[in-house]
Formats: sequence, C-alpha cells, structure tokens
Amino acid sequence: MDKKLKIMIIDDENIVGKRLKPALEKTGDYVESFEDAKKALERFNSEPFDIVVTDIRMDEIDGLEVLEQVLSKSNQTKVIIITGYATVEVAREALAKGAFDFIAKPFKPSDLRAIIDRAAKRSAS
Amino acid sequence: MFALQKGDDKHRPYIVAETKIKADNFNSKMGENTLKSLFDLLIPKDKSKTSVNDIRLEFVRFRKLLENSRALMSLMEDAEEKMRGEYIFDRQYVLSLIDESIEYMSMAAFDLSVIAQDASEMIYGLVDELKAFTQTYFIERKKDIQISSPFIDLAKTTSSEPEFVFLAQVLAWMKGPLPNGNVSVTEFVRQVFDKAVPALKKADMSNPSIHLKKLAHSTLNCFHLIDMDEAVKSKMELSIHELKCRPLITMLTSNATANHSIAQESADAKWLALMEHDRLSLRGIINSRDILIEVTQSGYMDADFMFMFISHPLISNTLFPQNFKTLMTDKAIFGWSYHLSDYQIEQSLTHIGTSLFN
Amino acid sequence: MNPIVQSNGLEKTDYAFRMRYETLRSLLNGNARALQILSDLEADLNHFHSSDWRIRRPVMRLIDEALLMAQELNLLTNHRHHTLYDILEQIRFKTSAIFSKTITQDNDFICVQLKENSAKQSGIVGGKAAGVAFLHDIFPGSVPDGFVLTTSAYRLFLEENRLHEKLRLLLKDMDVITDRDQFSSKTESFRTMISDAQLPKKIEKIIDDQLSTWDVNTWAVRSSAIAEDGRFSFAGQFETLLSVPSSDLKTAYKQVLSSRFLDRAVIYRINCGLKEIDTPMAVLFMPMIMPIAAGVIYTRDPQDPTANSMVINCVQGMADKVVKGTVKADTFYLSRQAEPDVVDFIPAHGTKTENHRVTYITDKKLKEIGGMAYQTMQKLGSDVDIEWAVDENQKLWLLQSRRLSIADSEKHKEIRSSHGVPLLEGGMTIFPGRAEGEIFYIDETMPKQVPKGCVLVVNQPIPDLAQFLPDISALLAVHGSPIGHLATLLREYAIPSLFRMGNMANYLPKEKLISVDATNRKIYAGSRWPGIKERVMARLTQGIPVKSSSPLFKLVLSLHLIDPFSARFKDRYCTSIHDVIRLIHEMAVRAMFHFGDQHNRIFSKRAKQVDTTLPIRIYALNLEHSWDSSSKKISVDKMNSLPFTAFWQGFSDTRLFWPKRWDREFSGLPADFREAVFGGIRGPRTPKDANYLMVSKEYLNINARFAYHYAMLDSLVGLGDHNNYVHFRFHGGGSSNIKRERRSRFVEWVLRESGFSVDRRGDLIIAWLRRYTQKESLSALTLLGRLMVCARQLDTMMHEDAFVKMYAEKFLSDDFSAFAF
Repeated sequence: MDKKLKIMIIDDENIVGKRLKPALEKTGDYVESFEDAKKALERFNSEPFDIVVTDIRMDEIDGLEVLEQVLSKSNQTKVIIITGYATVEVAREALAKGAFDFIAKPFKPSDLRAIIDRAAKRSAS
Repeated sequence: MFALQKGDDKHRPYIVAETKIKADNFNSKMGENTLKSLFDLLIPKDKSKTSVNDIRLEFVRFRKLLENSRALMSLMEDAEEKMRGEYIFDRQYVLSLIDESIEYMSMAAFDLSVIAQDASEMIYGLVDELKAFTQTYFIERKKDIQISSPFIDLAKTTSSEPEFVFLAQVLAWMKGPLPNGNVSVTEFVRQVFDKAVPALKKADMSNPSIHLKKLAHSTLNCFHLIDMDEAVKSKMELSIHELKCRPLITMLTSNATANHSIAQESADAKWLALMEHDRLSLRGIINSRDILIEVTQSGYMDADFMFMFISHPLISNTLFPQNFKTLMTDKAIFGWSYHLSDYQIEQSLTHIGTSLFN
Repeated sequence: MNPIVQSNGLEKTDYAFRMRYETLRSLLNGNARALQILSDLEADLNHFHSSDWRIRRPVMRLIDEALLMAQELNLLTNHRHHTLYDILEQIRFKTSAIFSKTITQDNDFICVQLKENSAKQSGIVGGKAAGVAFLHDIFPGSVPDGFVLTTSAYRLFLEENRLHEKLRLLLKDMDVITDRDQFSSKTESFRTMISDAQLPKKIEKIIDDQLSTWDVNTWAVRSSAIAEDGRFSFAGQFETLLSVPSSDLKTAYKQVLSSRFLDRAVIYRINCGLKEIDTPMAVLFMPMIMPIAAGVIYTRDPQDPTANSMVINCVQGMADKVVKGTVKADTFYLSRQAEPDVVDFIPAHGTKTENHRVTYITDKKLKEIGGMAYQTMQKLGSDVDIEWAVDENQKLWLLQSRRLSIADSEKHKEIRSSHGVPLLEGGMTIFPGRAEGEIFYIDETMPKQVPKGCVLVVNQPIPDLAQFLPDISALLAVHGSPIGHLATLLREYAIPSLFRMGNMANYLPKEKLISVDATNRKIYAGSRWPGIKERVMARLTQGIPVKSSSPLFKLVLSLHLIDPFSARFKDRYCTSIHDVIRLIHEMAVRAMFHFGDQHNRIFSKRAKQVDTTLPIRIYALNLEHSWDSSSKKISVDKMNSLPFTAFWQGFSDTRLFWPKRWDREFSGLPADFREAVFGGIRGPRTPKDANYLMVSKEYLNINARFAYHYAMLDSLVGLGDHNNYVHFRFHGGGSSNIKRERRSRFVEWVLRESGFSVDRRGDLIIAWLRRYTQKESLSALTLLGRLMVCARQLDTMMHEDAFVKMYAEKFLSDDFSAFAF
C-alpha cells in the first residue's frame, strides 16, 4: 500500500487541476494534470497511470471516451469520473462502461482521496 | 393588508372558530383587501365549507412552502461552506446557485400566493426584482457590485481565484442586507412568512366533514385535534395516551420544570393540532400572540425538521431551543431547525412542550 | 415592476396571465418531481421492502406532490377536478394500511445458525437455507449443521461498498435491454463490482468467529436467494461451491454473491418477473460431506405423476454432476409409502434387462432415503425433492430440499394423434404437451440468442440453457436426466420437452418446421395441429404470469390512463398515483389551450401560428409576454425561447424527410398506393390537426398530435444544471400493435443511447433527462426534434424485429435518408 501511485487528472476547467494536484501530492503520490484530454491520452499511451481522474464533460474528448481509451490500453487502471453539480444520472453510463467510481462537483479533495485509496486497494489485491 | 388584528382572538385566522361565531364574519374581514385574482377561483365561494380536503391541502401547501424556503436557507449554508476553501468548485457551481435560488423563490412565491392570495402580486414583484438584480450584476455584469460584505473581503484577501470572489458576491446577495434598498434572499424569506402564517385558514367546528376532536387534559381547556390519518370517524375526545402523533405526544408528556410565566398564559390559550403519525402542525393563540409549530419526526434525518413562528410581542427569549436559526421581522420571530437526529428533536420538543404546556 | 420584461421592450405582463403561467409552472415542476419519485420508486421497489423508509417516505411525498398538483389543476380549471382530492385521499389511506401491516425487517441478523429458529424464515436466510433448516428440524441428526450469512449481511455488504446506488443506476434498464452484448457487459460489471468490493469488517469478523468455533476444514458454500426454491426454483441458476477450504471462505462468499449476476441468473430472474428485491442473496455454509454416493430423491415421479412411486437418482461420489445434468445417473423407483420398497431400477449404462444392482449403495440405504423423504413430504404437505449424500461411514445426510413443481398431467391426457408417421419416436417426457416450431440446434457453443418460437435440440440439457426457455416452443435433448435442473425449469415454464431422445435427434432436418407431441413422445414433420402455433406464441409473449411483488405497485406505479383521447381518460378512472399525475398533466395543458373551454378565451387571442414551410400547423403561446399583435403568425426566430430554438433546429433539419412534401411531389400516384405508404389501417395521415406549443425564455412545452400519434415534450433549460429537464412522451400510431411496439422500441433505443432514462410500456414511451447542463439539454432537444419527425411514420415500416436496431443505428449515425418514406 505504500507504493507511490501515479495519478492523472483531466479536466478542462483549470481550477480543478490546479487545486487537486497539490492536494493529492501531499501524500507523496505522483500527479500529472491535464486540461487537454487529447494530450492526456497521448501521455497515457506512452506510460500508463494507476489512477485516472477525469471530468465527464469536456469539449473535445469527453470523459466517457477517456474512460474507454484508458481501459482499452490498461485494464489495471482505475478510472474515477468527476460529474457535474448534482448530475448523478450521468454517472450511470460511466459505471456501466467500467468506471471505478464517480464523484460529484463540488467536492473536497479528501473525498476524492478516499475513493483513490479504495481504488488503490483494489488494484493491489 | 397583512397586519394581525391584535386583541381580537376570534378573528385569528387559523384558530378554531367558536361554534357560535359565524365563519362569515371572518370572511368579510379577509375579503377587504383581496385582489380580484384568478386565485379567487380556488377558494370555494362559501369559505365556511372548509372541509378536511381544504385543511389538508393547506397543510401540505404550507409544508411545501417550508420546504422551498428551507431549500433557500440550505443553499446559503452550502455556499458558506464552500467559502471556507476546502472545496473544489467552478463557476458553474455559482451560476447554479443563482439559478436555484431564483427557482426556489419562484416556488415559494407561488406557495404563498395559494395560501394568501392577496400577497401574490407583492411577492412576485420581489422575485422579479431579485431576478433582475442577478441579471444585472452577476450574469450580464452590466454594473460592478458595490456591496460591503465580510465574505467578499475574505475572498479577496485569501484567494486570487475569481470563482471565490464571485461566490462571495452571490452569497452577499443571498444573505443581505444590500445597499440602495435592494432586496436580499433573506429579506424575501422574511416577507414570505410574515404573509403566509397569518393567512392560514381556520377550521370550522360546525362543519361535519371535519372530525374535530377535543383533547382530554387537566389544564389545557381548549385544545382541538384533527387526525389526518383517520380514514373513518372515531371518537370525539382523546386522552394523551390515545394520540398517535409522535411529536405531539413528546410535547405534551414532557415533565421538566416549566417556565412559569408562559405556562400560565398558555393555560388559557387556544390550540389546534393537525396530526399525522410523524407530522404535526400546531397552531395556537397565547394572550393575543399567534404561535405556529410545524414538526416532522420520522426518524429520517434529511426529512426531519422543526419550524416555529411567534408573533410579537416577544414571549420569551428562551422559547426557541438553541439549535434554531431564527429570523426577526417587524411582526414576528420565526426559525428553523433541521437535519436533526431523533434525539435532538425529542429534546427540542420537550423544551418547547415544557415551556408551553407544563 | 418587471425590469427584465420592460428592458426588452416587450409588453408588460398582465397579472392574471402571470398567475396562470406561474400555476402551470408550479404544476409542471411538481410533475417533474413526481415523475422523478416514481422512477426512483420503480427502481427502489426492487431493492427495498415496502416497510423500508426508503419506500414509505417517497410514497408519502409522492402523494403530497400529487395533491399539490391537483390543487394547481383546480386553479387552472375553475375547480373542475375536485374529485381528485378524494381519489388521492383514498389512495393515501390504502397505502398507509399497507405500510402499517408490513413488519419491519430486523437488521441485526447478520449471521444465523441453521439450528436457530430464525433460520426457518426464508426472508432472512433465503429459500434454500430455510429448506435445510426445516429438514434440520425434522431430522436433527441427519442434516449437517451450518450457518447462514443472511440477506441483511448481503444488504450490509452492498451498503458499505456503496453498491446499492451503483446497482440501482445500472439495473434500471436491465429488463428492457434486447442487445445481448450490452446485457452481458452489464452483468459482468456487476460481478466485477461485487468481487472487487471489500467485505465489511463486521462480516469478516463473523466468518472468523465461525471458523474458530467449527472444527471443519472444507465447506460447501451455497447460494440461498429469497425466492430460490420457493415458487420459482432458480434451480442451478446461482453458484454452489464445494470443498472450499476454510481459508478461502471469504472469497467464496463474494463469489457466490456475484453469481447472482450471472447472465443466466439475471435473465431467469427477469423472465420470472422477479424484482431485485425479491432475490437478495443469503449464503449457506455447511461442512463438506465427502460422499461415497449421492443424489436426489423425488417424492413423486416427475415423468409420470399419476404413478404411485418415488424416484431416486444417484451416482457414486459427489452428486453435483447429476444435478447439472451432465452425467447419467442410476434411477431407482420406490413405492410411495412410509416404509417404501425398491420396485424398479434403470441403470445409467446398459439396459434394463441386465437386472443387476449397483454396488455403491444398498437397498437398505435407498429405503431409508425414501422413508425420510416420505416423512418430509407429509410434514410439508407437498411433494418435495431432496438432495442427499451417504458418507464413508455409511451415514446418510440430507443436504437440501425444495417443493416439487409438477405439471397437471390430466389436461394432456386426451391428446392422442391417430394418423401420420412420426419422424422420430421415444425419449422421456419432461413436460407433456404439443408444440411446433423450426428446429434450432445448439451444440458446443452457446449462442447469444435463439429464434423465437423454435424447437430447441441439444445434446445435454445443461442449466445454461435456462436463458432461452422463454423463447422456445419445445425442447428435445439427446441425453439428460429427468431430475436435473433444466428439467425442473422446463416444468416451471411448462415447455413440452423430451429428454433421452438418443442420437437420432441430431438427424432431424435443420431449420425445418416440426411438430412435437411430448405427451406421446412423437415428432412429426411440418405443421400438424391447427392453432398450436398461435397458442405457443401467445405463451411466449405472455411469459410466466407474474404478480408484481409489491402491493404498492397497483396503488402507486401502475398506469392505466394511457390514451388521452380515450373515454376513460377521466378523474374517476384514476386508480393509482401515476394515473392521477398523468391526468393532471394532460388536463393542465388542455386548460392552457382551453380545448372546448369558454372560460379561458384570453389565451386563444394570444396564441399565434408558427410561420413555417413545413407541412404542419403549430400554434404557439408565449407564457411570459405577448408577441407583437399585428400579425397572426409568429416567425420562428422571434420565439425568444432557448429550448424552442434547440428543438426547432432538429425539427426543421433539412436532411429530414417530410411525407407531405413527398405526397405533393408524387401527387399523381394512385390513392390506394399512397394510402399504403402513409396510412395504416385507419387511412392516410394529414397534418390537418393543429399542434400546440408553449414557450418562455427557458421553457418549452409541445403537444403534437400527428394524426394518430401523440407526442408531448416538456422542457426547462436554464443557466444551472439543477433545474434543467427534458421530458418526452410518445405513443400511438395507425398501424398494427406489433409494428407500433417496434417503433417504440426504436424510440427507446435511440433515447437510451442518447442518455435519456426511458420507461416503455407497450407503445407508450416516457423518457426524461434531468439535471444535465444547458448544452446537453439543448442538444437533447435538437435530437428530439429530429426523432419526432423520423419516428412519426416509422411504425408502418417496422415489418421485422431486426428493423428496430437497424433504424436506431441509422438514426444515431445521422443517416436520415433511411427515414425517407
């Protein structure tokens, strides 16, 4: 469990990545954040991550597509979806497509941290 | 228009009318300021024919009003929580906050219009004003907002992020007070309850379709009950241990030491309780003050709440339990307490019950 | 007073109209909330008992919402619908009565010992474990002790892992998914979720505690679902794990839980009309018995229920292969009495004439088994089958029992065919009766689906075949044991079936129509009995008759008022809350356009015809302010409504085909041909009927009556996400029921793929999208605009089932040329 996690954050609203990155780095994990999903996926293709946290709504490539592409590259990766404010219904499709869990905005970094910890446990076991 | 007619108990709108007083007296009084609106169509021509349906309708409508205003208060609390900086939110969150506030205000305005039809034009006027304010200052940003508010100061000093400043401005609009006579969301809520509570209809004892019961009690002489869970008529007088309404039982069976002065006054008070298994609407007049207590005690925290409204002059500083958030108006003081555990509700009910009935 | 309106230079809103608009807004808001509660309830009734506050509370809330809507409708209609108040009160009293009757579930029974009294309550331990506990009561020494992790444990497991919410989201559409790939991928995600989940600490501790009190090294871990071994047997649909070492018990628990979501189990559950809540999973842990002989006893011969005999099927060693139907068992017939005799024997291999007995089990043991089974039957008051095992110390153990479902053979007695030469004779009747259909073979690989109404021919009747049972008319098996799981299921489904047909069954003509007489064990070529095909198909579409699991269903969810033009679309015909809500909504919209209502003349003056070249007449009403009054028509770009603009973009998409245009261009064609193309049975469709829409800046309501179709769209799209919604209702059509239903399935498919939640009943579609962003909501409206145009005539083209998918795919890939008819 002490293994450092490689976490990727994808969100086209910069506030999310900007605030999340330092919060998640606090525990020593390695975090990269992207505003451009396309660049993020290119990066992922060159090197897989343990955890991908992605917003579901993005202009060019949306979260579901990120989810599909990530899982097709690496089924070990756990994908966590950030959904919009009070839009749980949207999470349905993501879960059906194999997302590990979802979190609705606004959220506390510690809430996300809890999900990441659970995800890490699963991939370890 | 909405002034309470002090010292004239029989015209108290929501109290049981004594049998000898014709309901028509009351109607003519109410009719004076009623605007010719389509809402008149709702109320049957002869208001004395208040049936259980009407009472239940009003009960549910007032609950809806409470729900919508509570939602407004929750939005404010939620926004304040986000201001503390632990959360990640975006501009969309703030826009949603505005959107939802207006939506809930529209809904509350509608509920009020049904309960007090003569207040509808005034209250929709307020909604339009509030909406216009957000349009000017927050959406189109035609003008810069000049409100002094601790939130805005806080946001400007602690964070460079524009989302925080934006949220602080919206929060200031919600909480008020605002300069230049602009109305805040809180002020809107004040207006709503100042109008709604006094307009609640009274139950007509002579109407056979209302199964009005009497509470058998040693000191409370005028305590009437309507059991809304009752499918068939049953006995007319009930003792406390025959009641099924949980919150009322708790209030009436509290046996802590009473605040003497209020209890004394309460003995001569008139009470009407609308009862369901876990919901209660208790309406009373104590020495020319109106009092309204609404409770849901279902054991489900998200649904459970208490609401209390007391018109001036102030009875006692201690009648509201500590966990109540209160608002003061020219005419009354009222407040909520919600997200309560079963135990907390019991405590609060005991507190109020002790003060009023023991 | 109203700066926004004034600053736009528009007419000042008059007060009466404003109030009317606000009333409608409130009613529609209430409608949206009510529909949300209804759809949540529909899902939650699958997960929770009606005693649960998660059911009780929303039902009460729903009644309040409906009451408020009724009040609002009465505001709009001058108190014309006051009877709705009484109807709602009656429903409220009835539901309260249901709630006060249901006993609250005790959540403290996480673990129960078989010997405890509570182990006999199938609500706590599931059907199988309760059956075992019952046996344990009768024969304390002959049933292994054991313990059960109850249905409460299962709920705890789901709750701690937040699986409830996820399952609910995912399960919503399960029973309507027709695409098997999609179905399988969903069930797989359930299983992954369950095996990925953490065992709650409480459960881990209980398992550890149990292990320390039992001196046992290997275990049998069996599923025990609530409905299992009850009215529906679920025979073999869930997992049983044998010889599990103590150290693997926790993993085994999760594995058995996840078997609840094996394809075949989910399909079986859906086919039985059982809801999720009816089948929460308890798991039974029993010390493993290592048998030298094992098998099943039936207290009545399933093949010949009138014979006064019991049947024992047994094998050497473990019995699981018998049960799965993969290994032939030796069959013994015993007299059906308290002290039975062995009266006949059919060996698994060889023929009956070699009259020798097997060596691994004695007649004495067989009689002992028979005696105990007879006793159980008498105590239970019904026939049973019991799984048993004899261990190396010659000790007899009873492992599980369940009620036996046997067909009423009397009905089929008189069926005797007199002429014609059968293609094939013989085999063993599993369920009697006649059927016909085309032959379909399944050999090694399991297909995704089988043709509806086929006669299925298989080598081994394995439980995996259960998923096809709702679709087949008859089943023939080359091999097979009459007391395997599949045999049980075939009887339950009442499917004429023959086992042990022998190899000749493999030579029946492929894809040819044959007639099966399972009663007399004869197969004929071609169609032999008139009316049989129709009866078979009727059974297939009807499925097993199901009563909804919750008495609340009738009072709350069921919808009877479907057709707004029906004479029964009236207050007094409302029997459920859903009916009331549906009626209120329709009546409110009518009131706004005052169909036949003198009182509201003001609105007809305000309504204007939408100026369009499309062959359709639409009247529009702006709810916030009046349009310029100089013209009788309003141009599309002056509507000043965000959702309308989005909708219209789709509706007027130039790639779409409007039949009336086509009609104009081909006006020289013969009338009967035109009618065949445009009309169904009720004649040609013309756009002569007016359609109505109401708009405000953020709101759109459309009532479109395309002749025999009816579409309603209601949408609010504002700034934030929270209040946005798009509601869509669609039904009707002039063509046959089956075509209309196919068209509905097409609409359903498209909407689901586009993110809508959909509720389809027959040809009625109710779809909604809530709390999506402005952008998403608007693009959904554009899609609906296109869909309404494309779907309006589509029913006449739906000649085949396969068209549903084909058209859906074309529509979703923007290939609208396919809809040019």
